[in-house]
Amino acid sequence: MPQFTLFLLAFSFCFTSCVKDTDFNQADQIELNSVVELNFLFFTLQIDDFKQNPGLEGSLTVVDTTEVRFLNESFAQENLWSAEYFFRVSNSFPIGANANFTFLSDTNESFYVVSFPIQTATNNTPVVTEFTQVITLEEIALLTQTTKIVVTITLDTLDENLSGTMNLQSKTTYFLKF
Amino acid sequence: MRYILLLFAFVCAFSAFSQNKQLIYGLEEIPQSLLLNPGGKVPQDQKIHFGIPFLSQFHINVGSSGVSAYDIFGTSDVNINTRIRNSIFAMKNTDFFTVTQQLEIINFGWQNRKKIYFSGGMYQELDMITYFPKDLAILAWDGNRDYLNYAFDFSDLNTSGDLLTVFHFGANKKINKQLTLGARAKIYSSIFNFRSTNNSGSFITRLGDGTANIYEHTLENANVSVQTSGYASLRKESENNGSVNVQNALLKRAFFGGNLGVGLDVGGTYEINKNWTASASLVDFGAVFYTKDVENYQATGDYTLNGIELIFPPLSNGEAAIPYYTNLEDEITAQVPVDTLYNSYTVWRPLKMNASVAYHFGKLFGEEECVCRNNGKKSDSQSIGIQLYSIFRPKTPQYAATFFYYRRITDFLSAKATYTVDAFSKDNVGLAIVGDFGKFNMYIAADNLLRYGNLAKAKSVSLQFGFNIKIYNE
Repeated sequence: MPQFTLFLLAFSFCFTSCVKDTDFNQADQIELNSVVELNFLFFTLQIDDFKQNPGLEGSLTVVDTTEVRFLNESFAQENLWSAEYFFRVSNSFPIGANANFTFLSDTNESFYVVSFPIQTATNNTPVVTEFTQVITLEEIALLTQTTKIVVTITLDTLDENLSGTMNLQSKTTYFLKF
Repeated sequence: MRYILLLFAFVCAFSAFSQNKQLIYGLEEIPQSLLLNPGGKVPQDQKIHFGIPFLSQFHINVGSSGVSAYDIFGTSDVNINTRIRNSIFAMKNTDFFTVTQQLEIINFGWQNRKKIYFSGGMYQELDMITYFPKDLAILAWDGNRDYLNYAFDFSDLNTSGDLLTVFHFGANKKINKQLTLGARAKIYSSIFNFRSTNNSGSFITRLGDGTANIYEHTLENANVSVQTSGYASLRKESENNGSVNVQNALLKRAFFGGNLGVGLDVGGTYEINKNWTASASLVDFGAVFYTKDVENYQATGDYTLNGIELIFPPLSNGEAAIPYYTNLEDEITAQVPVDTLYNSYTVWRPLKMNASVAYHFGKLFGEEECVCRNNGKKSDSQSIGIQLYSIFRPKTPQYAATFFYYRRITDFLSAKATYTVDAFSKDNVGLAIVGDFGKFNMYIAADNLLRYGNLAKAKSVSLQFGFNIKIYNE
């Protein structure tokens, strides 16, 4: 049946296409480098918020704690390769101050600390302090064990009648690599 | 993500204009052409046909309107990540990816004494379309840092998919010398459906000015929903039993055990004169009514995320800290609740429209006065013409225009070549070949032959083939 053979030849042609000049192994090189910025903590403090702290003699302090559960999730542990914490503090207290952020695990083990001095105001005119903490690839494993953060703000005074206001704003930049 | 991209590449590598069967339309030697136009011409002496079960028609096409596999995976000095990023920005949110597959289970037809040609059968169909979610792709690829004040639009999320079986029965009648009309009734038996098409709202990161924190991350008028049918029962069975007998569940639904729908195809062919013919058809005018095994998810609301505000409460020893993080999660959940709904929904089938005009001429090789398969009349062995096609899709209708040349080469062999312009390409050349070897009918049709040398560069390729038995009047 030559006609049947002819048809089969045509039929076969339709299955003889090819894919060339491509390298699907390049899929191994695919990386999404996503940079996500998110608000972090914010607060405003008056002198009434500060208390004497037996552990920190000669100063007034405030302490608070918040959970940040997403950092120790597998998504962050597998894909986060760097981070930046940016803080902006507007301070009108006429004395020196310090901000401390301690990153803790579930068992209250301290893994990472961010600490920076806050500039002193003169004549109660707010002074803005900006501080950036870069967490490198080497340090990121510490950050991704965090489940809570303890925030401590210290005023270098015992004067509980001091006037002034302190406002802190912050954001985090997460550098993700998938 | 890497695997998703690889899958995407294969989708692109074997892509096509979904559901357009320009090679089969109007090809009366193939009984399945009646599925594209129930009013198509049936050879007058064709008495009975039946398809070889499971082999009478297989059709596959997978489509990508915006990018080919070569665009991403072609050998090049440019880093693949740069190429992906370039493609993300080059594509539009109206570009789409489609997967359509049909497997005919049974097909049969016969002519009664009143010269009405009845045909029927059953086929399984998978049809999915996903529009390129450009804004969400940019957000995933680049993040939000460099897109302050840019509204990432949730309406870019637009996808739907159907897996169903279709039971159909139709009639075709040559009304007079010029006009042939036909209609086909369909019952759809849905196996699985998902749909997320009417989303709205946006996500914006604005630099704060006098605001609580450095940024304002705002969800504005968010309304994102997903409708599913056929998913909840499988999930529950898996949760309860640790495994799920998918095969049994799907088979039951394929034979009227799930959600049902009805549809209609109509069409006709008008022979204007000896040489000119016009035809048109509407296919899948119908809907599936999803009332069983429905589970829908909907997130709506507005929310602005400022971060976590600490209030430094005076706490005594042992007193628990304020659960700021939990409170934040609760606040977001309250403002943008994700509801699970069980309300029924109706999905219209993607309505397809075909139209063609053809000019017939010529004669068979070696033909004299009589061609017995044409009722003793002299046949026109060649034709040229144009075909138009459109299909309704969630965002906009898609169109294709085809120029074709048909030739009945010998008494047993016919061929049709097409040149199609559509959303995928402007140089899609296809070829269909039909062979009638006694009672045995075979056909194969393939698209985009110009790309056969390297399918990776093709944005459209489709393949159809099938085997039938046709019995003619003696």
